[in-house]
Amino acid sequence: MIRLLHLFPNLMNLYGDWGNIAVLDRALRSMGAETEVVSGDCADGVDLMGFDFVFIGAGTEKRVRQAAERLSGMRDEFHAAAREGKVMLFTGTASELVCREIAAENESFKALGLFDAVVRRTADRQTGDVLYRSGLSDRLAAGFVNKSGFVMTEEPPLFTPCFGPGSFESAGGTEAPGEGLHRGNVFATYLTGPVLVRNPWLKKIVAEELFRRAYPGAEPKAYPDEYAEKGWSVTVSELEKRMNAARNS
Amino acid sequence: MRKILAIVVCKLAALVGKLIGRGSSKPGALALKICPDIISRLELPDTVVAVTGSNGKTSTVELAVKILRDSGRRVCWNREGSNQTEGIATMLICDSTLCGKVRSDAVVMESDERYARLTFKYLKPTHFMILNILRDQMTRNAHPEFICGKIAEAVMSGMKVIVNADDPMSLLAAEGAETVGFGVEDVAVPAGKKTGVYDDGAYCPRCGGKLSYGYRVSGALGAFRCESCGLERGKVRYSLSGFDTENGVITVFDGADHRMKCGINSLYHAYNMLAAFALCRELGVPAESIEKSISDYFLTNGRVRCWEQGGRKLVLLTSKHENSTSYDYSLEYAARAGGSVLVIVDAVSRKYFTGETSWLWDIDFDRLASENVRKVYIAGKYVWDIAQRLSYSEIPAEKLEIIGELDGIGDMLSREKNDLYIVTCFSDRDKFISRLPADAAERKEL
Repeated sequence: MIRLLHLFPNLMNLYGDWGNIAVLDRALRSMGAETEVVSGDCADGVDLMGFDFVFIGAGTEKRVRQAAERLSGMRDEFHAAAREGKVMLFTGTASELVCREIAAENESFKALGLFDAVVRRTADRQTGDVLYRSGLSDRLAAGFVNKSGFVMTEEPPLFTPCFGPGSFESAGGTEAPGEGLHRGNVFATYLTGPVLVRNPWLKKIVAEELFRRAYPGAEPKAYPDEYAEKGWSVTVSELEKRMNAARNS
Repeated sequence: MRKILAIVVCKLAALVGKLIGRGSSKPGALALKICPDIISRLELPDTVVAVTGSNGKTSTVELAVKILRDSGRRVCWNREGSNQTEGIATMLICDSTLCGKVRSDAVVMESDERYARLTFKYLKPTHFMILNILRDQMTRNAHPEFICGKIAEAVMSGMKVIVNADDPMSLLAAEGAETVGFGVEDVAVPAGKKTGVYDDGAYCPRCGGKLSYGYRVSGALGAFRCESCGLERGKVRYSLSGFDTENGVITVFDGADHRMKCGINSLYHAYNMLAAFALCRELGVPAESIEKSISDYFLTNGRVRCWEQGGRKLVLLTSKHENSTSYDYSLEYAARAGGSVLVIVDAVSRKYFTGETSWLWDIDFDRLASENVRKVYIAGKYVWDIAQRLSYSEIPAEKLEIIGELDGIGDMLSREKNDLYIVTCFSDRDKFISRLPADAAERKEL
């Protein structure tokens, strides 16, 4: 049995975040796994070790603060779960929660600190369609970012932006090429919304890791993913056209 | 001198634009370039109304203008929906004398949620209507809380704010202002009304506390109360106290009942009629006059169009891509009316490029699982994204047909014999219209 935890489905939910859990759950079942999905806005008493996958989606800046407060008593559990190799995905502004601290103009507050990184909130917003490269696959990650902050860190990034805004900031305050954080099985990215829906290759990586951990030695069944694959191709092709046009202009 | 030059250039540019069928913001942009404070230099009438919100601006403004004109007032309004500062400059200058005196008795303008605060620097409305603040166009509007902050910046002392009392976010934006509320009573919410796939009414936008609801109208809209900070549904001066969906008749209560037939039989349109009623009552129009003006009035803004072809109806429900509420209302309408449905997503926006399709996952496509719906067709560049989304809905697989590219629509139209409801956006509606059979005859009534 693979247990999936969707934390803060209402508190942290901006645009189609539920799709991530839905497609992952279907992929796992198609692979032959038994699954259970649990979701809730209350983190109190949640035993992270009882789950194989933890997901938190995007929220408004105010809600990130609330989520950080609700998670404040669970830092040790999150660190232990990360060490143990539990798969965790933080998308959109939820990716800020894996950092040590979130610093806004008038306040700063602590987050989970799974990475040695600090978020610097900005008055302006950085939004746009993006194409990112990564060491996870030859395929590009496509999506959208909707944020008002940069990440100051020496950690290696999950993605390298090819098109659209990144999120890493160098010590000098200028944007450095990098987006997202990744160590072991913890993935955090400002890519927002149904990230696993739009990037079936990433869904496959996450699903296969979950399957491998739950059913050591077993071979997962192949699953049909035609719609997702075609959707990804169209999006990437459209974004590549924009990227090339921008380069040529 | 600059003022007169700006007015002349704007009027000439608008004339040229009209001849060549171009947009309505360019002339105003030219005027603003010549005279940046041209709007504040115009002599305005005593009544200046701005209508903002995520959904329903254009329709509410059209209804209000109809009422005001029928009551004998001369009204200047942004018919084309150009709702940013440049479009508003065009609208006002085109209605003004060369000296800059706006000729109309009232200005009614649709005002962009993000730009109202900028436009109001030059033009402070006497009445500011906030219809709702909902999920809408993440690509430019970020999120509802962000927009709430922008609208709050536009609210100034001395203006009367007419606000949707059912909406926590709108009430928060209007906090501190002199407000008049309008809202929907529980008895007017159609039986079995679904609230959607996400819950934006779970938490208070002011303090983050839990919201509780006596009833929901739609999404976060309803009789809400925050137990932590006390934010609650506002006082309502104008209410939708009845909605007979069978006959498409609404009742608006303002101390007395006023019954009107809905030009479009949907709660969405009923909400817009209520808003227009509230606004015009505040502007002193008698209720009886309002009833007469908009009862059974069919909007001319082209958002809903209907054709008769081969003995069946083709109904175009222009919705907003990137706006799940708009889609939910359209799908609900189609499902209730019965027939087949075609959803087209080809260009996400007509004004800018984006390949963003997250919003598809916020739409409640389960509405199309209704037995009333015979077939669901999908088409356009992003057809595979829709197909994937629908595969997670309750729509039976055998009901779904993937058309693919838009050129397949013609063949589908020749095969499909049921009434067909076409749900798409401004960016794609002309692509559908251009593929209509030559013998399709447009008709007004629904």
